[in-house]
Amino acid sequence: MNQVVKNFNALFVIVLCVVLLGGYYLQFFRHQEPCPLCMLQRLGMIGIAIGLLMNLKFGIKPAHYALSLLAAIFSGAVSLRHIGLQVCPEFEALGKPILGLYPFTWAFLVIACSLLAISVLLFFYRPVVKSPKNPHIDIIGKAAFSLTFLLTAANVLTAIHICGLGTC
Amino acid sequence: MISETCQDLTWSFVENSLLERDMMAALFLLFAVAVIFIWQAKRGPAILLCLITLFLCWMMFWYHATEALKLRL
Repeated sequence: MNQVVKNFNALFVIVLCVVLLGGYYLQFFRHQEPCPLCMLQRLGMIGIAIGLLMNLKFGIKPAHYALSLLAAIFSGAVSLRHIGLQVCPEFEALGKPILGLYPFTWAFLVIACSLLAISVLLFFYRPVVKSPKNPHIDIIGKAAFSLTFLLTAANVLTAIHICGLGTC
Repeated sequence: MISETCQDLTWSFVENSLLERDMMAALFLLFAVAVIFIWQAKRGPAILLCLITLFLCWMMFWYHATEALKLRL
């Protein structure tokens, strides 16, 4: 059961990474540069992924889910703010709709689904008497770790690349 | 009146957007370091760093909402 939950955690992280890769697709192939609110949403998604990665490395603990929940609440608040800005008719919508919704609305839906998934995972939480100090991480877990690290590092570089060091 | 407020909001959003990206890069960097800590099985520092980063993210969001967009919350 514990391994099934861990695999679900790893798959969850990979799905979040695919969403973040979607952001890069928009940035590089559709030339839609991310605004600060979009970047904050990305940060929140990475925060969710980090909480789940801790479950893979240190065993499943409520504190790790709590970290993911904190990041999800943050990211959800940013997405809602972004959606709320569109009430102004003069405010130029950043980006073009995808399947009828703007990217920030999709981001909010992803965050809402993440909150739901974390709640379900917490529902199946059973305390382990003693978890191994250095648990084995399978290939899905390693892929989740690699993707998260690469995407986070890539975001550092692209954020600097957009503006350079110092203020623009 | 609403239209003027919206116009100010749009301008301040565009003008301040670029200023904040360097700070975003720093936040991404902190998360990247946290992932390294997790991989090296350093749980305490990883959790602490994540909490600090999330706090800074909230501060950034607060700054963006109040200073860059000049909204009264």
